[in-house]
Amino acid sequence: MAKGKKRKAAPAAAAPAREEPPNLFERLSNKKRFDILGRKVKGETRQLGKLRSAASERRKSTLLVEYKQLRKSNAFIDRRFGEDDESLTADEKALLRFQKQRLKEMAASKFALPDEDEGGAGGEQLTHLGRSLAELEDLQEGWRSDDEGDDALADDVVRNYHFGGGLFEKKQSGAAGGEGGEGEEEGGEEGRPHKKSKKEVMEEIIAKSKAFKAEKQRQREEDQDETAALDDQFRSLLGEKALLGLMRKKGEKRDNKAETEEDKAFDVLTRELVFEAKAKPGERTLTADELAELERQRLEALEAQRKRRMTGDDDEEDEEGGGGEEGGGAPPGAEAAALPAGGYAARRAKRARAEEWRATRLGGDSGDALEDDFMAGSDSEGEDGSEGGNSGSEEEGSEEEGEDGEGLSRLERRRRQRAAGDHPLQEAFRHASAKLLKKHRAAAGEDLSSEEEEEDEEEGEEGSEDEGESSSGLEEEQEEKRLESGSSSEDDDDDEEEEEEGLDAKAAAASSDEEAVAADGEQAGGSGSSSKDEDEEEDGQQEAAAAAGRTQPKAAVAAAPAPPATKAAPALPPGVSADLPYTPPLPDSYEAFAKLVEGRSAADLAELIRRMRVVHAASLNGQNRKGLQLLYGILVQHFASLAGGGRGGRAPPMAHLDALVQPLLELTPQVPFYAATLARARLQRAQQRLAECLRDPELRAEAWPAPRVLLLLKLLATVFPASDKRHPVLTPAGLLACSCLSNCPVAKPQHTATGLFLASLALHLHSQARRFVPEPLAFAVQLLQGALPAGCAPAGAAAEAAAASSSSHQRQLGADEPRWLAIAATDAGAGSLPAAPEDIPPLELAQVLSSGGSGSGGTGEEDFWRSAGFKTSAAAAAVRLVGRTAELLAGNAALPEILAPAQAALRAIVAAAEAAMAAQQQQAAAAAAAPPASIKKKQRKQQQNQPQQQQQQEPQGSGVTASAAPAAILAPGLVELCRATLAALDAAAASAASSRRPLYNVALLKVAEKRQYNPRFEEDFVSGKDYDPDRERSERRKLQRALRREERGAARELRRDGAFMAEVRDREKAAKQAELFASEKRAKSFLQQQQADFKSGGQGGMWKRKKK
Amino acid sequence: MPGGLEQDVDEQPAGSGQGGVIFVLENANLETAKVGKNYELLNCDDHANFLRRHGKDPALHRPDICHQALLTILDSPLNKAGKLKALYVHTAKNVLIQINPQVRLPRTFRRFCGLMVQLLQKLSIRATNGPDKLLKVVKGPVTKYFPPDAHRIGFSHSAKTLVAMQEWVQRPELGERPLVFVVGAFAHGKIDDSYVDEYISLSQFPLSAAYALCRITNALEQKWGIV
Repeated sequence: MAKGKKRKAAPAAAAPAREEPPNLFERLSNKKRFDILGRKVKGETRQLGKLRSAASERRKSTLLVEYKQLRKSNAFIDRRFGEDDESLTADEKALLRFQKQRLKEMAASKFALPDEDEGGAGGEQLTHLGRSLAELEDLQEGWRSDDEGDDALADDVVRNYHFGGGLFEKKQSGAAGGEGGEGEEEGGEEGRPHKKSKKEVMEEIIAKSKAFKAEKQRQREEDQDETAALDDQFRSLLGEKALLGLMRKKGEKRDNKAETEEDKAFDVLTRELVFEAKAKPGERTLTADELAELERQRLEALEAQRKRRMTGDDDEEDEEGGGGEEGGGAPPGAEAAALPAGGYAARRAKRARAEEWRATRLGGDSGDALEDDFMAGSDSEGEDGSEGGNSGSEEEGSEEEGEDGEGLSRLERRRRQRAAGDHPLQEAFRHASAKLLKKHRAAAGEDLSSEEEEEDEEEGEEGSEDEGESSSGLEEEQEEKRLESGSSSEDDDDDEEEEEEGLDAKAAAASSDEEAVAADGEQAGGSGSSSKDEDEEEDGQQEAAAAAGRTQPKAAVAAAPAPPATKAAPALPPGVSADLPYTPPLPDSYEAFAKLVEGRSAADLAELIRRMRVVHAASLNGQNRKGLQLLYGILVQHFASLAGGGRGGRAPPMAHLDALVQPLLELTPQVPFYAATLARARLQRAQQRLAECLRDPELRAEAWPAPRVLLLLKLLATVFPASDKRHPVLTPAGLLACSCLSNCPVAKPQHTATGLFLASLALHLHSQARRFVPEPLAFAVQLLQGALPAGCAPAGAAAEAAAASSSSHQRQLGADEPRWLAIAATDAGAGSLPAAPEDIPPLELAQVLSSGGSGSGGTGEEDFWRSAGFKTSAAAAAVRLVGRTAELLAGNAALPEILAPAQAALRAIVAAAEAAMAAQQQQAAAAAAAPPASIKKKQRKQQQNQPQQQQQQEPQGSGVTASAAPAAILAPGLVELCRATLAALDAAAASAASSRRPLYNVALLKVAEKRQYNPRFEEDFVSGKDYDPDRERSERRKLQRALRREERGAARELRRDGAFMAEVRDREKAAKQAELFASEKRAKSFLQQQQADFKSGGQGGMWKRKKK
Repeated sequence: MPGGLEQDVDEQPAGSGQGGVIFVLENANLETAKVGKNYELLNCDDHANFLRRHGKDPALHRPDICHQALLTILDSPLNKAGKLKALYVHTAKNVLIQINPQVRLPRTFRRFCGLMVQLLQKLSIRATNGPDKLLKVVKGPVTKYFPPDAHRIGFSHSAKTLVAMQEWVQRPELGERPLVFVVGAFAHGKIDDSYVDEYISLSQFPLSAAYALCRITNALEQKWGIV
């Protein structure tokens, strides 16, 4: 190949032929659809002719040669140079031959090793340290003689020639050092200073350590010498006894410090701190049960006094008091248990002493609590001191004790000052606790300071026990005092008592949460205590209670028939008669209760029930619960009977009812199931009655519930929580009220009042529970429609109302139906109608109820119902009901629709009033002979402003007879109220309507967003690269592609080879044929010539005879 | 395939008779080149020297215009509401690309370039989650894909009629005919007017392609109450 190139390059004639522009007709190019800038595609343009000839040449040189060698066993290879090349000169041929020969020689000697002489001269040589080994070899003789020769020479040789000497020399020198003396080393030192230095260092170190040891030894010896000398000196001193003053004798104690004032104070303080009271628990807050128990005891004591006073035996005071104390004022179980058994006698003695002292004092002046306290305090202090003296002797000496006592008192003062901080909370707390204690522990007992002393006492238990007993004694005495003193002073006591009760209430509020509803302090305390049902009281107490219960009925029975004339009751709330039993028994039937309360005032009733509940609180005795249930039933029955007592025109005794409500309210949570059952039974009865009445056409008019039922409903609404979504009592109650409102016909004017009451009640019940009931509003709207005389309502308004009341529960008042609230000119009081909304008198509940029943309506009552005042009040109540409904509905989306009928009714009233006013003005205008122009204008303006109303009035006037078209008489105040309410309703409706949201957005509904698709592409895409994530598959595909390509290529090659070979064969065949043909022709021509010769007689066809 | 891509546009001319809109971006400069070893979409920023070396004006190679314009169209509520029936890009190298309105184009220019390079070499791009072709190089001319009654509007600053697009699209004579908007996606030049019915100008000022398209889509959204 290289040869060919050279051959081509050599002739100068070849260059211009190559630069010849290619023939455009021979050029083949691919058409590019998407040209890409900067991309070079191989084989983009091809010279077709060139390629073909190249392919043909290639085949000629390969395939054709093979073909020619086919079925031939040998071949002649001409290896001569340039024999077949005509372009070479003889010289060149010779040169080439020479080159060839040289190359052949080179190739032949490739693996032959060159001769040593030839190779060693310029080739590689072995060296050591940059010197050739041959050079070293020259010195070998000297080295060899080394073995025999002297050492000095050997050393020299080693140092210089023994491969640099480094390692060996070191070893040798080391070995020499090990073996030999120092002389050699010294010799070495001169040459190598670093080695010497190390040696030196070692030597130095050894020398130093030796010197150090020697020094140490010397020091020790010196010390020994000195010690010995000192010992000698000391011994001599001892012998002279010079140190005697410095020494202490054997028995003497070590330290004896001089005492300063500060040290003393410190000592005192430390000793004080030993007895410093640690944080002690404060006075325990009494539980509700304990409070209830205390209250009961107090009442029992009072009852006992009352009985004693009744019987009049003042002589037995002391014994009775003692007995009472034993029975009623028995200490609570916890305290009794805590008492040490041994201390009884001592305590009794002490108590006796105290009582004696008090008796002497009390004899002198009037009982003043403060003085008592003072004395008691001093007394206890004295005791304290003496006792402290006794107990303290165990540990400390007497003189110290005295000091301590002084210190203690000082300390006490300081501590007390600290404790009596002036923080308002602290003060308040102190105040409250003092009050509490004052009431329950010592009715006139110690004040705060004494109490604190009590706390600080060392033997806390005993002391407090003593105090408890003494206080109970005090209480006893005070009661006695109260009895003894006159009525004027009793009033003061009374006040005191009340105060105490109030405080009691406060305490209860602090301890329990249930007092929210309570108005009366005592009762709040009672409820708080009784709400907890615990039966863990001592047996003794139960017995005491039972005994009290047993003893009391007689007294009660005795007291009952007594006339309730005594108004000035001692130690009692105002209005409570004094002969009321303090511990009344629980009545076992309603009759008993009725007898007990017969003719009693409301205050008496309330107090009686309160005492019953206190004495028989459920927390005192488990069995009391049943009694309370019974009491509850009795109270409800009493309530019902009182409410029903209003029958016969009499109004129910409201004060008594109110007195009953309070205990019922408090008892209901105690007996919830019983209360609910009771209420449901009553509701069921009312419902049955209603159903029966409604079924019966005759009784239908009387279907409205009696006042008893109304008040009962009201009671239930008060007693039970109305805010429950679903309540076993109030839900039926509300339904009952609603069914009355929707079903009962308004046949009488009093029914409007009853209905209004029920409507407001139903609204109250349902609105708190967030329920919507349509009946109250519908009823109110109906009433408001009835506030205008028939046909008076403007037609437009009427139509609107009719449209608004299209729903089933709304009723449109017919023209012939009675309109109870429409004021006729003949009605009483029609002349003086209230001018402002505030002037309209509210409806009285008593009035409503007194006549609500199947009234034996007298004429006076009829007048009342027909009076303009009642009608206006009722209409105003209806309007207010509507307004309240609107308020309760605020936020409801359906508010505009719900309120539409009410709005229509109100608008009708307002319109009617305006129409009436316009008519009046017209009349006035007509009456005036020459009305001023300005007024006319105004009228015209008004007419323009209200053309609709004018139009509405006209057909009305024409439809009905002129006289029948009644002008509505409406109170200006009512109209004003209507107008205000209407404005409120309109505003509420507008705001509700504006806050409504469309149910769906049309535009958004129609157009759903189309789904979007992400295109799949590679970040840096390379055309032709397989992006198949499955590597194996992509590999396979690649191989398949390669295979196919190879197949195709092979087929193409074979095809073209075949064509080539066919061409060659054809040419051969043609050549053979041509040869055959030529030989045949040749032969033929010879024969022809021969024949022609023969015919022409050897003339070569040129026979003349023939030409002629 | 419910909820999938719509029918192939080849089969049926898009938006005929339902008030659809077709956009054609004319003369977009989308051209791939082999720069170094990689194939890249030519843009004036990255390939200024390359273009100069090949004797081309770098200022003309602005594929970002096309990218912005496509994003404006495809992101418009008009498209979300399904009013866009078809979208074609006709490049300066006379390649017609049909873009499915449901495609979510790459937001970044680099990725857009990658997409276009692949599209121009493979001639179609499929969705990641389906076999449907989102972008496809189709045969021209673009007119054969228009519905027969389409109204073809070309936009040019040099047009005789200056219109407020809001009012223009409300014209009653447009009716419910499908509209074809032809907008140039080039920096300098003029769109081929062989198939445009009328030329209008949107503003007194020359607008960018993206903003012009924004105006058009806004006007149409207002017309059809697409919020």
